[in-house]
Amino acid sequence: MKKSLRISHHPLLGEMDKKVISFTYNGEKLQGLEGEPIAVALLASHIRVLRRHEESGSARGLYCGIGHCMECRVQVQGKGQVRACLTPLQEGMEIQEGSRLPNAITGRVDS
Amino acid sequence: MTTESADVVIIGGGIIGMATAYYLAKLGSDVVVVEKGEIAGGTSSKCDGNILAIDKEPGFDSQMSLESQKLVTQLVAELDEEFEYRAPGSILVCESDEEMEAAQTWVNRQKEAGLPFRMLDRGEIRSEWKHMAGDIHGGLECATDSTVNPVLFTYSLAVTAQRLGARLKTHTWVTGIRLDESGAVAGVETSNGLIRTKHVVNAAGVWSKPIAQMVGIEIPVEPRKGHILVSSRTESIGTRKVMEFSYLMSKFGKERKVDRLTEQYGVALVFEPTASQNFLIGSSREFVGFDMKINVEVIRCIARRAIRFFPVMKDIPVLRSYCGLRPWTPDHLPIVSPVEEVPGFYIAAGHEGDGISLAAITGKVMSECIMGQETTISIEPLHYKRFQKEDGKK
Repeated sequence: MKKSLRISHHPLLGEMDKKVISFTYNGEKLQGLEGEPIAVALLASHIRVLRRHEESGSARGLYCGIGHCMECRVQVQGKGQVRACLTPLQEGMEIQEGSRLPNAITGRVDS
Repeated sequence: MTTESADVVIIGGGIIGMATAYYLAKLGSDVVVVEKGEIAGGTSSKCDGNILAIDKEPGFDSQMSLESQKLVTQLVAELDEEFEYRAPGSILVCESDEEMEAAQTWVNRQKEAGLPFRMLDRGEIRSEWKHMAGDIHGGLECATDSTVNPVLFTYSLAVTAQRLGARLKTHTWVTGIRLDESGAVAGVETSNGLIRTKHVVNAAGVWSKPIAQMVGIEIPVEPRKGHILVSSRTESIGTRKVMEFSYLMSKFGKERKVDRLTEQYGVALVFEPTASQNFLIGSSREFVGFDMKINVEVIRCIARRAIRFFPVMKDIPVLRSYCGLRPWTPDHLPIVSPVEEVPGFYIAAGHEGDGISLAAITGKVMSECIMGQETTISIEPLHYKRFQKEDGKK
């Protein structure tokens, strides 16, 4: 198992003692801290690809981190598309990366 | 400061100005377009992109759209650049039996005028639109309605006009219209110097009123603000335009059965899928002068209306929203007309939300009018004098 990227003790802010909860990403069971942004929980688990571009299929990740660029959209079961950088992690969340989609207008069908 | 000359000076580098420039250049005219900002920098980039007959009054209005649709089909082959043209038709959907009856009347009148309209029953709506709310009663279709990317369309007209010799002057604004001793047009004074010409086309859209005032002519063109939402890329909800039937009521200022805010902001569903895997959602209509700030309350109201027709949209994020000013006229028809009192002065403005729809036919007839040819359609109903007669009655 890879080393956690988290800062558990901060020299100024002290102990980072949030509750550890479970969630899944693309079916894989992971742990994160309750209430932290989904993108942060995934980054701490070494996951940087949050979405495949709907047209090209190329990888997309955290970019602006403040909700403006809309690049980090993931699918959360029961919530639809959300921005990973803004959406707080909750116990049992089932998260899927954003996926490449067919284009009904141009007729491109591969996905 | 320089002095140059041209056969025709067009004021305004939006869709109307560029269509006029293209058709004039094609007829061999030496054209200059004067634009105060960027090409398509005003209303033409703050709209959606439809060539619709479905929302036009049956008769002259819808015939004019049909002519425009035919011309746009030709432009696909004539212009130098692609502009995401498709002609999948468009539909209006009804919320009640009362609206279905009104829709039937609308369809009958359009068919009498020779347009390809037909009613759609509940089953036909359901089979095409799996995400549409289940209580929709039915609707109607106009089979020839088409769609374009309005910014690409404007630029395509612009680059093709340029290839044919038209000169485009952006970031150049008009400071005055010079007349000769007889009162005829002699030139256009701009921030970059004088352009000598005998013909000026006022295609300044929402800014056409102050341009007309430069030659002492009053035209009742007022800015009417509209908001549009842009969705994120998502699984396809549908591939052609959908509007609610009561959009027509909103457009023509008739009474609707909707809540206070929907009524106040003139909100009616307009769904327009794009080639970018997303869709645009409109619409609103407000008279608030030249205010271009986004009103979040209007955005919320438009979103609520869209979710009423497409419940799935509650889980689809809005990427951004924008608003634009539509050049409104009191009778919802544009002004496409020579101004007899000021020989050489022409007006092509006041298309409200129909600028993209009517640009091709407007540019075509304006070019024919200036070149002294017979016009493709009669422009008598579009003469600016119709408003002066109304004033005379008061």
